[in-house]
Amino acid sequence: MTDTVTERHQAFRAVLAALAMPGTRHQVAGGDALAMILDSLYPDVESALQTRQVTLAASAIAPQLVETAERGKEIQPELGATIFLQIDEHTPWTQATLSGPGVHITCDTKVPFSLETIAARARACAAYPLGIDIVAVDRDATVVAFPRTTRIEV
Amino acid sequence: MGYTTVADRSEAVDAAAALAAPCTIDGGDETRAFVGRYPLLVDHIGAEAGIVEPLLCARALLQAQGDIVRAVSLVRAWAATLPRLANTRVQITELRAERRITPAFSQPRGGQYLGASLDYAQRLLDLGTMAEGESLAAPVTRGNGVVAPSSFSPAIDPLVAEGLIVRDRCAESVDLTRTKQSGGRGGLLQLLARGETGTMTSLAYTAIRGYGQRQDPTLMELRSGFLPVRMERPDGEVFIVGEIAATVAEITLYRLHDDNGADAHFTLGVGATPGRVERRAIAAAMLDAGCARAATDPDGKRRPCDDEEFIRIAIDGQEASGFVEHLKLPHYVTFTSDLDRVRAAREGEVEA
Amino acid sequence: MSAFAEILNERKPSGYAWAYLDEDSKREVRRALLKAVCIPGYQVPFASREMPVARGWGSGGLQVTLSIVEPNDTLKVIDQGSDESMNASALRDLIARTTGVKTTTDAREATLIQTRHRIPEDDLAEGQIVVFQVPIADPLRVVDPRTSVTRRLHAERDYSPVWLYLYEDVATLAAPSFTHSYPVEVEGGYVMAPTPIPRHDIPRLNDAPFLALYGAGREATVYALPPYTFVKPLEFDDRPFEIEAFPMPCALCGAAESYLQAQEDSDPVRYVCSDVAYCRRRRESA
Repeated sequence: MTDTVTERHQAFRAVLAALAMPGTRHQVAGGDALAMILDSLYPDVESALQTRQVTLAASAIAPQLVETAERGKEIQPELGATIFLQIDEHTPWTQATLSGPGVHITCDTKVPFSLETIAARARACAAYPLGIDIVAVDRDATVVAFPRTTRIEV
Repeated sequence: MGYTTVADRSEAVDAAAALAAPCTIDGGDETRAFVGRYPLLVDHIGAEAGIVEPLLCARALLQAQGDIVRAVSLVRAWAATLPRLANTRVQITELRAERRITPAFSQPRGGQYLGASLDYAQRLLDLGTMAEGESLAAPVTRGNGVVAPSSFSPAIDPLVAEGLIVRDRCAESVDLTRTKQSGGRGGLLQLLARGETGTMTSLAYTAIRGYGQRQDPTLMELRSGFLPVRMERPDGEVFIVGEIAATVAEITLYRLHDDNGADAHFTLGVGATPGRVERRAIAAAMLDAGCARAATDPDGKRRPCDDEEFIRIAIDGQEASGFVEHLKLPHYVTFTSDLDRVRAAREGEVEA
Repeated sequence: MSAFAEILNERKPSGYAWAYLDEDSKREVRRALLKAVCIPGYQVPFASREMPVARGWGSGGLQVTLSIVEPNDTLKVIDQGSDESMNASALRDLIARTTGVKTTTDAREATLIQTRHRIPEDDLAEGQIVVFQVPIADPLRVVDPRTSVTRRLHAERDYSPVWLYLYEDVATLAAPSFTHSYPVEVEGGYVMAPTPIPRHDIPRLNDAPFLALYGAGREATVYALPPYTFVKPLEFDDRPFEIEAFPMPCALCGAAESYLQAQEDSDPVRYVCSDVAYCRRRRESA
């Protein structure tokens, strides 16, 4: 039991670090990284996925998913959705420049989104503090994340 | 943590057994004797902690050298990390009363029963010498042999039927220790059930004393006894798991001053506490009624006793005492910053 | 294992769970922290637990630390800049005892720093996390005691009341009367309470390499500043923000840019670094 407990701590730290510094990659201890991340956050993952606050995407985040995702309210921006993406060999990658909180000046990197998704995301996050936050888990159990405050320019 | 349906049958049996097992926390003779000698103090701790475990509360009080606030902290912290295994239900009308008084009515249906109350005992400090081995805090004997009926229909029911008292304010039950929402009236009632006794008494006093909006309260009914506690099994059947000591009070506020004549009615407030510290239930009912009265006049002037937002901040003893006592922590860094500003102001420094 | 059995298994008959809190309590804090980092400076509500330290004594900072600590962390806990403070020691003891993490007084070595009222003097680096204990979470509390009002002001980003407060200070006193806890504006627009750190420490928050997390146990909110976030104290253009001034450098290590503390028991009064470990290290390597 203790090992699972500390694994959850490590998984969450990776997510926290990834969100705190968008574009950087953080290792989650081996195994099913996405499952471990979800387990560190939600007592009942299935119920969490039924809320507007938590969404899973396999392989790619469709622009439509971004468009319809919950963006929160001015009085409760924290209700904006977190989209968890499981990256696989079909995930589209786009070269982009990141800026905003957490980014030291700018960061050039590949982001796991299509151009359309990047555009949809920009629209969804245009009215800060409303917006959506994305946590992407790669096949090597590294996590990279994009809070609503990050500007992604192609 | 809500109730989780247990699919495996044998684990369901284990689960039920675990829930039904008596509390194993036992400090031995010392805590049992303490509960016997100071039942109201133990009730006080349990009520403010929001936990019904007399032996545990006695142990906490002993460990805390008699400091009520610290004892409540110990119990609440212990409970905080325990899993929430199930939700239970109580029905106030089922309270098996040992004591039932109705100040609003001289001869209510079911009668009035004084019970084991110190209310009318003269408050004279007994300075007589005691025999060897005798203790002032003798174990409390309950009742005088007269047994109250097993339950009473609420004394206000006829007035409710007539429309003079309205039970209209919904209260959804909520576990404030596990939610970040304020919980509406249900949340307020839970806060009041766990509120700091002195704070509640003081606020209720200011309401009656005139700081409330023309409160004119009458205590309709006070019942103290035992409440059956029910749980639902996975198959849907509801069963009784046990009883807790509880006290319930209902208060009405009278005011015709700016009421619409034909619609005139009393405002009802309900207060409850685990255990038998009656002023907790009465004060809670008073504050609930005051908030209900104030809610009908959203733009009206508020004093602390009918200001729900103020009450919610002030009422929790742990938040209050923790923050008050935190002043004992070092503050020399912040005070240095204050000194800097005051000295600068005295020297009349002005930036160019 | 069924959910119920997992719960029972997690409870040890003696002692506490790893990092003290039960798993669901940690999840509650983590969900709030996740959003806090995505909305810099915004107070995210969470269902704060009763802790073995009193409300007002660091229960919020403690919940944050316990929810994020990892076995490989090196922990530092300070109060007023000192590792030796009674309260800092008690908190460090609880965290270390329930996790087994290494502890240190050297801020450069720590991966996780829990603090009350100070930022360590040492330059901090990327990857470090500073957890601040928060007494009053809302910078607008000075203008209205009601949470219902201040939440709405933040939602509308209507900070005119606090600007007016500042203006009145400047008009009557010639300088802002805020001492410690100086309100700051965070990139994106929220005004935030930096906790009662001195004005001396405020510039350290701007574009910082470390992650700052804020835990308010009594007020039941958390908030965060990601690294490299712009943070500016509220100031009028013609009344620049001022930090505290000291009449002399540290009497022990000579530091001229450290936040100092008067030692009244010496005659004449002398000033020493409030960051005790930093000061000691400077003396030892001098």
